[in-house]
Amino acid sequence: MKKVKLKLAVLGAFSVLSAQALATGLVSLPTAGVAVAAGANQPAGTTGWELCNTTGNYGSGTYTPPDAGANNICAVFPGGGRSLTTSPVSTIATAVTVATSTPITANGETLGSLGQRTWRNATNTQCVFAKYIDFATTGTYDYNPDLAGSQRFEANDVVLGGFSTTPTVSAGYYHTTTTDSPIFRVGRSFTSVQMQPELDALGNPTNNPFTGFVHRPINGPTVPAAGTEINGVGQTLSPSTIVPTAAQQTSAIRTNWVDFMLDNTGGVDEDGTTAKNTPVMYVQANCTGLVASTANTIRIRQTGQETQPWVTILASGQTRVGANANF
Amino acid sequence: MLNSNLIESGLVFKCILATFLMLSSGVEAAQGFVNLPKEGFANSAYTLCNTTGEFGLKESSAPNSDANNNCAITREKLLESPMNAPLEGFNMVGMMARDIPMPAPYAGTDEIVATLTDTMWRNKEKTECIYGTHILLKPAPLADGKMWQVNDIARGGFAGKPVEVAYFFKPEPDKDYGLPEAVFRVGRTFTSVKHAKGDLDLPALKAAPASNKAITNNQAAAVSDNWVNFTTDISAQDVDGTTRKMSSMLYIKSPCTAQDPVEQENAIRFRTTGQNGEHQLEITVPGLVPVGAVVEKY
Repeated sequence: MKKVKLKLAVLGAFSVLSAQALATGLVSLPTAGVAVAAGANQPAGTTGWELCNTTGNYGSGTYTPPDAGANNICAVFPGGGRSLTTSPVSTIATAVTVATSTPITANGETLGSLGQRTWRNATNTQCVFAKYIDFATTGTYDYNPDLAGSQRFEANDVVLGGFSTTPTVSAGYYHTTTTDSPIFRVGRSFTSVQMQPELDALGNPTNNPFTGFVHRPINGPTVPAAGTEINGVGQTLSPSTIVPTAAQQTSAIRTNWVDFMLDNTGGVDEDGTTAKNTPVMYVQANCTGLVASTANTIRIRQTGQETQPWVTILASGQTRVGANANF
Repeated sequence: MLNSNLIESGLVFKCILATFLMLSSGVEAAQGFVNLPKEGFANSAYTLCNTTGEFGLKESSAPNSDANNNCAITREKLLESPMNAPLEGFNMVGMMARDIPMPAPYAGTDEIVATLTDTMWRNKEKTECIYGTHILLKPAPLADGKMWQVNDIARGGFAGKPVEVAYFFKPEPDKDYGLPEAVFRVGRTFTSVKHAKGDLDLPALKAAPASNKAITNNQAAAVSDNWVNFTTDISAQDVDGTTRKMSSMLYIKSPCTAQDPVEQENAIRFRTTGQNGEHQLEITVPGLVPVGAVVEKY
């Protein structure tokens, strides 16, 4: 008995050590998902999701940006800010394209601008796709007409497509400056899963999700239909009062997609913590060294973390040649 | 004689009065949503909306309270933001914006030619929905070097249901994209009809092509109660010299349930009808439709 305990203790120490050592860098998202054990706000099962920055309760509260010492799971620090000068992966560092910036519009109003660049490795088998969005601060259109005043679009998830040929993609982010939010979780999923925080007596978010909302959505037993943009309870005029069913907090693993959960708005965030830009998001995946612009492979979603209605903005993204936006 | 004169002038006066009443009530009734009967109108599947601008050959005029306001709707809240519902008592349920790729062999270097925004509002009783359509064209030349032109936008999924339509024309030009284009006519039909100089404003029912015909030069269109067709004129650079890069907000109001609408392939159709001799073309994209709707029905 004693021996076994000791072994477990040693193993535990090793895994903690290795987890710390690997904490900075892109994280693996295998097609098969990974097992997750039951816990608070967490059913047991197979999940396509990994947690990244666990401060700030998925954007509801105040987050601590990653640095070399802490809060840096999924985080990389290649330097160069939003100029996208440097690949975060040293072996995939030949630029396929120059950095580009294109506007994203909805209803004829500019919502933000999308920055992109792609690097390849020497043998043309792997690429790193980099993307970020700067949300416009000049908009006047109201993305939450039910709330008094006028609210800008709030991005809770940015989902990138075109990775169906890659068994295990790696994903991560670069927090370039204080106006970026971190990535809270990243998943091999087409569907974004709504999150709402537990509130304290004063109505401020605690560090936990509200009852029924889960940290890492599992791949069953009931998953939303293919093509479901958002899973959750829907728009809530009194947030953190409706307990989602288990089925409203699942998402199928979809090999073609990677979902980055963040919290950005070009206006003022209803939760009081405003970050107007996404960090730079990276996906390392198979390619042939060439890229193409593929329609609707970027999905930017407002999922109702507070009182917002669900909104999805689709844009074209730089992908490997031959990629598609299939679910 | 005197008597009959009196009677006659009385009749004339009555007629004038009746005409005046008809006109004035016509103007009032004209503003806002108009009914598109399932069986169409007496002589056409279409009804006229804003008839200024010769169907896009010239500059159309913005609707106002006095004129050009058939099918047009405006409210203070729409001027603030078109995400607000066009009618009191409706709330936004969801919105989806997507790029529109031009398929081969028509695409130029940049295949993305437009952004479509599909918005849905529902009333508090959850009995009626409003589907909003907006398109902004990009200055992306096609393979032939010309810009894409959208003359008609059709939406499917309304078979058997009452339908009312309207549009909102934002009167202040956008600093990047200018003024929207007006809606010239709207029909309960799948068929878009080319409107070049001298063509009929209202396509006939007689001698119409089959109801599944997308685009026709014949000045006739059959009724299809599953489809609503808005006639407008949008292009990033119109060869006729009158360029409007984006549509008005186009609204379709129809009964629905508490169940959220679903997106279906090919529910929205964009047609180039060849007003200025362009190649006729239909581009189909997914769109929100009522739950249980069938798109491929004419």
